[in-house]
Amino acid sequence: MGAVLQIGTAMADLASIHPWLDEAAGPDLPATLLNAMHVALEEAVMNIAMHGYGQGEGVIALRFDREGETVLLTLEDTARPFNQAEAPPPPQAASLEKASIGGRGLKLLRHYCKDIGYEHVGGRNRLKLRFPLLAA
Amino acid sequence: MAISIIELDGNVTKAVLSGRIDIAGAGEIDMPLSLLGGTRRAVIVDLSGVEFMASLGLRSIVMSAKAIFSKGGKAVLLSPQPAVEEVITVSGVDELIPITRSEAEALLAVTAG
Repeated sequence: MGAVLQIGTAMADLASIHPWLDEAAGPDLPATLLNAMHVALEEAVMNIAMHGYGQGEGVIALRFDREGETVLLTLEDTARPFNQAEAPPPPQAASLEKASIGGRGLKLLRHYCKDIGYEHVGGRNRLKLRFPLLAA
Repeated sequence: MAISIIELDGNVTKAVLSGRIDIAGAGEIDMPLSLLGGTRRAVIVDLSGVEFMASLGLRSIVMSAKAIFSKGGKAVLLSPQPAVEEVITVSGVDELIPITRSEAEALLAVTAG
């Protein structure tokens, strides 16, 4: 029952993550949780587009799943390895300073999502953002 | 998402933002805020009508404010809703651009000194 979305890194594509998340989440998720998911998803996706792919084009695959009392967002991309769960902002960010809020963004991501999983498999970054339904 | 620019007395400019500043919304405020950053020295960013803001919206506001500060000008945020204020404080943006709670307080902050 997972909802999926595959987008490019053009701004119009990136903007589609918000309406997609609203539709995937449906009407019954708590507003606080949905807000946290939107903030975390925007930060994670922008990091992939700006720091992972940099100036280049790329594809980001998103998946929304509900597993019992957990809501899971999975993001996959083929950009260079970038562990958003632990990494400091990559040095490439310097040349893109105008396009980012620097290290502040990762603070946002880790505040709004307490359970971030990362693995790099088969040339793909796989980021898993888990949100508990009850703690919202 | 909407943005309106209001010129107040004393060369103070108020940018009133409203709605959802998601990625699409940030795209809409980016140019007007950039213009303010390049041309004004005392700016109040009224966030009271903003329901959502995340990384890109913050980035637009920070870039505009940095341009204002670089000219010796002042910028403040006004009355964010709780969910938006949380995004601002967690990211530490309030250390760069102070949050004010009333228009009187905001006016004082951007005209003082």
